[in-house]
Amino acid sequence: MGVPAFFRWLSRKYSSIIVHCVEEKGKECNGVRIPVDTTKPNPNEVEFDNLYLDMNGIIHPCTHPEDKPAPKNEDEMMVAIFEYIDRLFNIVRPRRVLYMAIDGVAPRAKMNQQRSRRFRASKEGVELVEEKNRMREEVIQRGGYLPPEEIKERFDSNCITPGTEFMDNLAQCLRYYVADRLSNDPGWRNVVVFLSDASVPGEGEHKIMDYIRRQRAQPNHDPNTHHCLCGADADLIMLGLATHEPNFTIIREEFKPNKPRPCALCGQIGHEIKDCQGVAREKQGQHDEFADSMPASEQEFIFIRLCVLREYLARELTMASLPFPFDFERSVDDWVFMCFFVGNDFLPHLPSLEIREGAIDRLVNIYKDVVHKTGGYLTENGYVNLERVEMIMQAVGVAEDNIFKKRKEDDESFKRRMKEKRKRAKQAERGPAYMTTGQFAPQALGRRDRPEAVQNARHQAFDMRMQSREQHNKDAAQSLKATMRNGGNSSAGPSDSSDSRGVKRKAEDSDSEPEPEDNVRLWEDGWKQRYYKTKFDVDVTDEDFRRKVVRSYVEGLCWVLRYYYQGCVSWKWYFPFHYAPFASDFKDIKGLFTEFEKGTKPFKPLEQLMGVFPAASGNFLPETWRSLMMSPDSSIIDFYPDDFAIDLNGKKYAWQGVALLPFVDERRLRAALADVYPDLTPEEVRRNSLGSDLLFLGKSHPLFDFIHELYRAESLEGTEIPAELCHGIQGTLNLDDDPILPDKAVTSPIPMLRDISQNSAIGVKYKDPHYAEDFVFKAVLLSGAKMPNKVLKPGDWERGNREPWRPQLGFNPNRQQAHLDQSGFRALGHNLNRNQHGRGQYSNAPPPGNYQQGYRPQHGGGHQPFQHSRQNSLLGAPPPFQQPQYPRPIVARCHLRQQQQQQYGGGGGGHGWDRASQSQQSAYQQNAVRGQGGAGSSSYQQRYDQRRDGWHERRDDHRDDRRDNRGQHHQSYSSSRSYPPPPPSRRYTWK
Amino acid sequence: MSTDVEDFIQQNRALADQVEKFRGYCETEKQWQARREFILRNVNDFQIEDVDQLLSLSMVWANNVFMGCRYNTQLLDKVKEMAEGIEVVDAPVFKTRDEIMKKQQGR
Repeated sequence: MGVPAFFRWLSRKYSSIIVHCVEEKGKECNGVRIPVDTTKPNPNEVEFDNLYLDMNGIIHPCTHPEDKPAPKNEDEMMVAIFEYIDRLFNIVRPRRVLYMAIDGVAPRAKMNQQRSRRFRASKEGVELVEEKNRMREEVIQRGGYLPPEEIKERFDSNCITPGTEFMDNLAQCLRYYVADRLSNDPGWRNVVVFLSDASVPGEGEHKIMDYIRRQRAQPNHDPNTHHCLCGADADLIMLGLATHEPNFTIIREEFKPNKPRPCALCGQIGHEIKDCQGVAREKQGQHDEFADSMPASEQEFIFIRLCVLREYLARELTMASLPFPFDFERSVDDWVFMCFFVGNDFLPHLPSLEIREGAIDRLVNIYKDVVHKTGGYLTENGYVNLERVEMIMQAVGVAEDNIFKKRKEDDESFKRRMKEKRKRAKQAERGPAYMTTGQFAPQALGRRDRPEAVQNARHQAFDMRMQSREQHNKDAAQSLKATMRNGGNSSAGPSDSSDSRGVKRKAEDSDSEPEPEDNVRLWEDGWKQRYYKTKFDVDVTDEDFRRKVVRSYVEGLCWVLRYYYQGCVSWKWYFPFHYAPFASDFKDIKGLFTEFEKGTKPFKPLEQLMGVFPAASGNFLPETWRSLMMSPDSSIIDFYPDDFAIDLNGKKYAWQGVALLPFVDERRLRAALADVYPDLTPEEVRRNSLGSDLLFLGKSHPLFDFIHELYRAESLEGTEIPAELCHGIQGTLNLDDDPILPDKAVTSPIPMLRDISQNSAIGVKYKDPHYAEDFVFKAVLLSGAKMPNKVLKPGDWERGNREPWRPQLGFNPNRQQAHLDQSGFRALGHNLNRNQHGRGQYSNAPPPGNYQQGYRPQHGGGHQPFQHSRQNSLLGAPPPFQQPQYPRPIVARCHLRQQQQQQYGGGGGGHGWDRASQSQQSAYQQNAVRGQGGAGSSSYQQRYDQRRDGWHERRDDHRDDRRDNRGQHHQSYSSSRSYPPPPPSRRYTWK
Repeated sequence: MSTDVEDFIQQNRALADQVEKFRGYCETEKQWQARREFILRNVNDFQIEDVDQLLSLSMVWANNVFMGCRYNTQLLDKVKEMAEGIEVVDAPVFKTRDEIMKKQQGR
């Protein structure tokens, strides 16, 4: 669903649904990459059966990434896609099924959104090129340096639409990829791979849902299959809930806002294209070794556990004393339905329901209020009870007026706060009005050069006084001059430097964002009238028209819910307006909808291209088809405006607004295309035809021989999969015309990848199990389904008076606790300390990232510390031996501890405490430290002691000097159970 | 709506009924009346098999007036010529995407 805010809201409110992925990375040895063995248990401590890939979420970032340079050509794109899939496969490690679904032709209901995206993308692409060229000129004229322009064609992301050559190539490449992995990767050995490419109608995620729905409705389905669905769309969460499968997990890239993007012109990070200076690139690292690494690391993945979300929802939705028995599964369906009000791909959201304003919470509250009166649930198996929905809508309608008023208030106060914030920031920038100078100048704490003792203080004070007076005079003169220049009409107030600043600040303030004009003013009386007038160009008295909009919206709600629970019920239906009605307009809606037209067919791929592309993307179409988009005599020329209005609708940026694009008249489109159909080449005819899902598997799969036999027997009719051979998966197999067969080499469609000479995979056409047209898929838990263990803290935990609650962080409730090793402790102690005493003089030690430098072998005994201290100070830590000059009896202990932390936390200090302990008279310090330490870490400490010896063993070869002291060392540490290894200070010996 | 259109409809009932079928579901009364006039004014210049082209041109004009769409000037001039004499009261005002972008760039 096109609601990015939805996921944000969900993950904030129900935070335990998120689990970070553990990803095992491939190793590299002498330049040879060693792939990860995915046959090993999943490091996430959970085993998944099925992995479903909503491929469009992969294709887009791989072909036109936002955070790194774009691939140079199509081949690189394909390889990037393969690598991305490999990565996901490695994280998820499915054991039974890998399902790859590419968006095919979408239902008509989606076409408006697709149209608007593609018309915008096309314009944005052109604008970017223009801006690039303009800036390039400018930078070069200024004498800046820019990397030479690559000879690459701009990638028109619009080609990621079914029916284009690109999508056809992609399907070919994926077949090759699957065959390769099935033949060569042991982790794929027992996995059945489904590939549903763009030639199969339906959106990717809905093809996946169809598959799951049709599997679970047949008796052989394993009700405890663990599904994992990959994709970033928030509606995947809805879809996952709608399956009512108990084990359903979603994997997606972790969303990190404000990730730095490289400048489109010079490829460097840190500025946008309009600020590009054309400055030569700075070396990254001492020898430019980090040139290719981004400052932000690779995008990481997160799991979203729907079973945990169900736990949350159970808490929120469970209602006592209902007039009918409470059924959690049904209430989940109602929740999903209500989320559609807030936004989905097929309908504009109701004006009064904004996700950011807690619309879903509001709906849930209303729902729980109203459900007592409705006498039942809002939905059943994806069918809507309109009477009950009306009661919800009316309840929202009552609040509408207040919602709009409150929205305005919040908006205003937000703006006010931002303004004040800017003001404060500016003030901070300006600094204080008076600053001491010379010897009294303020010094940053913790710098290397420490302030000298003040000499001749009185003279210095005199200097400062004189200076400030001089400044005063200058300012006065300046303001006087300014006053005279301005004609003397300003009251030359006290000569004060803020005068000139005052003028400047005003200028800066005035350039703050201009308000987008808003004629609707939903917060003022008469909003409904204005809304209908501005958005629909009708009078509020036009009951008929308003009714039409409401009827379409009601149909839409029914269509969307059915789409999620039963599959696409009508390929033709769509919402024919750009805006939604108000909740209060939903009156007497019971009779507004009966049933959808039956037997509708999806568009053919090329037809749909004509429906969603702007004329500027006509190059993806055959010539005569393209001319229909451009010629003034075309009978469908009205579908293709060059420019279109955008209604910002209260938003700030063009991309947030509503694109007012004309709707496609299906009859006229088909009529116009009938004339140009004969112009298609055989290749285009093939691309325009409906394809089939494909099933692949490798030699060792139990189903392999069965399929191989089908090919040998050249069986022409469809054959059912024997359920016992394939984990109860059902479906019909048909022979592929150009199949992938074992021992038949597969040629690589990508020049840089080798052919598969030793192919051992087999491919066959696959069809989901068939059901009668009036079959209703039941939205229930299956019998035999075991619910996963609860994760959330039980509400009555405290009452049980048991041990403290330990939250579950991963999939495994009995997860082995991770332990810190010695260096980890140092890092932790150092950082924790830093946070607690952030103001301390020693708080600006280098970050733990610098530890490695400490591993430089250092020999020698007592003299070494001097060299050591120099290292320390080079890295920014102060030389500790100055410390005793300022005796501080009271804070001594605290201070001492800081310093100790410092020494082993600081760059060169990696072993400082270790070595020092040899010669230390450490009793005092250890006691001091022990007195400070908290109680909590004793268990770590014990473990640490057990491991310590091994730790030293490994390093002894070049650390002879340490070995002698190990015994003493050990003893002293194990005696201090309350705090990590204390770092004896060297300061007393260093004088 | 001007009276001559009404007269025309009175006199050509069959044709008017035919044209009524071309009304889009989401068209408001105001938009449809204007577009119907456009169609009726020009219907005689088109062969019956070319009626889709007339419809298309009527939509180009209506989209331009009521939705703010821009087409190439040649096409727009043509439909404006065809629409001469049609009065649209209180036509909405729009900002096209290009205009918004230009304004935002100017800053």
